[in-house]
Amino acid sequence: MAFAVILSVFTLASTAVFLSLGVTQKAAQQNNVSNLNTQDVIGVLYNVVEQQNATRGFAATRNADLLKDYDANGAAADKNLADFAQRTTRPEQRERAARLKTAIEAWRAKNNEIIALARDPATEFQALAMIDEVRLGDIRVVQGEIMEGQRKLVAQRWEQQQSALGQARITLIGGSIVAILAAAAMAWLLSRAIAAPVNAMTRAMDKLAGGDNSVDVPAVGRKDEIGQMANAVLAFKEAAIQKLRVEAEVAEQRTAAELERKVREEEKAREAEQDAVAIGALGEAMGKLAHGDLTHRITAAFAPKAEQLKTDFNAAVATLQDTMKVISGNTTSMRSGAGEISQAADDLSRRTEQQAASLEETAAALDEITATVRKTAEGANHAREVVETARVDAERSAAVVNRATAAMGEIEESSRQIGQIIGVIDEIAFQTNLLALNAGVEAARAGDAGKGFAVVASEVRALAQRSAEAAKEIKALINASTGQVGQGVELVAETGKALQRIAAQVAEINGSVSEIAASAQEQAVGLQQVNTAVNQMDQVTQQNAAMVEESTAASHALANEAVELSRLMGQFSIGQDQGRPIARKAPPAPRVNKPVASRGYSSGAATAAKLEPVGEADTWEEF
Amino acid sequence: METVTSRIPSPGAELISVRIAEQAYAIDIMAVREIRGWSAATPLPHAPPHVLGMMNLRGAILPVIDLGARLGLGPANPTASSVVVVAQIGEAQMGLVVDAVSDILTVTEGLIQPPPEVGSPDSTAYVSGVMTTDTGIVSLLSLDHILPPDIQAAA
Repeated sequence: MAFAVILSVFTLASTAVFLSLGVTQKAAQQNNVSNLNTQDVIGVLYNVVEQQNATRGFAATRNADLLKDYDANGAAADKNLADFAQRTTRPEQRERAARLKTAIEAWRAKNNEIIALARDPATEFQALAMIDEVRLGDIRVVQGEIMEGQRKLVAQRWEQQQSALGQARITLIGGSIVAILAAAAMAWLLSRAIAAPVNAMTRAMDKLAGGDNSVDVPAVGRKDEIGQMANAVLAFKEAAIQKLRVEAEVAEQRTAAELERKVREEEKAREAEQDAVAIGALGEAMGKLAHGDLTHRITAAFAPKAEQLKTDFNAAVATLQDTMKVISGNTTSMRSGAGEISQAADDLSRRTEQQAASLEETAAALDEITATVRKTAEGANHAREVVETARVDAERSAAVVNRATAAMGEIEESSRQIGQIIGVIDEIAFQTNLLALNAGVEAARAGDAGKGFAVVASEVRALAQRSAEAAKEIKALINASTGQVGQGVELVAETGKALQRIAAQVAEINGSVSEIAASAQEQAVGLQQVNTAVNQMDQVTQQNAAMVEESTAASHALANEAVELSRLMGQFSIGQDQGRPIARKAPPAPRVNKPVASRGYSSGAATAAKLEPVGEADTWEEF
Repeated sequence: METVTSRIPSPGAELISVRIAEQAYAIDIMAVREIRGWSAATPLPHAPPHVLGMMNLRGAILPVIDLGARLGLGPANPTASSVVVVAQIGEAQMGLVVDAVSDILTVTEGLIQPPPEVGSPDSTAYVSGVMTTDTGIVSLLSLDHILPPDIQAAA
């Protein structure tokens, strides 16, 4: 709260100073503007004076460069005046600026007139005369008024600025004094509210640390941080009181336990005496038991609480004695059984070896058969290919036969045409013959005059007859040829049929051979599988043989161990009927009913006999 | 005419030998006008069996006689190889159908012998002589009785 008071005082003072600064800044800005305005007004006068100079110079020298200066200075004067009129805020200054502009325009009109006259050499002197008429009096008056107005404005603003700065200074000093006073008051209040309770609390905590639990904790119930501290110190005090109470209780319990322990030690001494008697008897009995004497029993009187131990020991030894009797008997039986197993394992081993050998032979034979069948399959395949070729040839032959038949037909056709031609020749010969005969008749009628003609006719007739005969012969030949061609056609047709039959049979053969090839292939595959199976059997049999070897060795070891067991059993003294089998009343049936045992039996018996210890051979006599 | 046809030709004369039913016969060449190939004859109603019909020889109509049938050798079955001998018998001309014309024979001295007497006037009436040649016996036909005399007279 004290800080809030100080903060508000500072805020008020700062706000006042800030406002004063704003006023001062505004005044400075306005001064700046007034400064610019003053410069513009001075510029107007300067440029007008320059124009005046230019006009006079031109009138005197008629130098055209001076006209350029005149125009430039006129534009600058106009610009300065326009800037001032636009920037100023006072209405009276604006009105003065307007008057100044009018005065300048009036003056400039005169000047322009002088320049126009000066251009013409005729009026040159007239212009020089006019120069004196042009004066800047009005302009200077108005410009002086404006300058005065500006000066007053600046003076006024300076005063405003000074007063604002003075106010700000007073406000700053007053605010600082108030803030210092407020801070001092707050410091005094805070020391009163916090330092005193903290000092009281420190004193109480010192006492508590020194073991004075009766101290009163100050400021309990306050809501502030001091109150929370007081609660914590109170909790410390209560914890210390509780600790003292618990320590007193523990001391009491320790005294009671000490008394109880003394009573118990007395009891223990009495019991130890009784236990010595029982342990002596038990020790003796255990010693006998350790030496294998199972007939010993505890007879000494025991304390009532150990009586049960004696009874249980005696019962345990009795049970052990009975059990050992049974074990002894069974060991004998086991020994004979192990001998039998060993014998059987020997036989099994031998037969397994034989089986393995046979299987190897079988596998080899199967390999050969497989090779043979594969060859057969290959042969069948080859035969199939050959038959296929034969079939193709037969089909081609059928085509050849067809062509032959066609050729025969063409021959027949040719023969028929030849026959027709021969018929024509025959007819010609016949007609020639007739003509020759007629000639002969005419020659005969002519008498002697026709003799020569008759000879010619006769010759012609002979030729005709020869022609006819030749034609007849050719006809006969052609007929024979036609007949033979017909026969040939029939034969070729028969050949074609025969070839077709052959093709069909070849196709059948092809099918059969294909089947044979397929069967052979299947056989080969099947044989391959059989071969694989036999090989597996062979492998398994080999493994079996190995295992049988192992089991033979194991059975022999078993037999040895049975003998050893029997010897060990002899160390126990178990009463009168020692070593008689109990679980197995009758000896095992002799193996006469097992024909497999007949072969190589004597060697097995010899092995068994070799493994038997001396004096136990009678057990094996029955085999 | 009678004397010419009936007499035996003198040596040097020529004969035409023809074949009828596998038998060889000869005809005096002077009685032959022409020899033609067979062409079908136009039948003549109610003609005797040995008259096969009529034929046209350059505008003249001639009877066609089956010489084999007329000679009592059985009817001929004319084929393309059959021949028609156009003979001049007296004033009449006629076509004589034979199986073939074999040869032209020249009569030599002693070639022609009289036919054997068989007690039948008809036989001698048709055969005026017999010749022996390499191919067998050739009978020389007398054509005077080929047609009955009344027909000959009519013709």
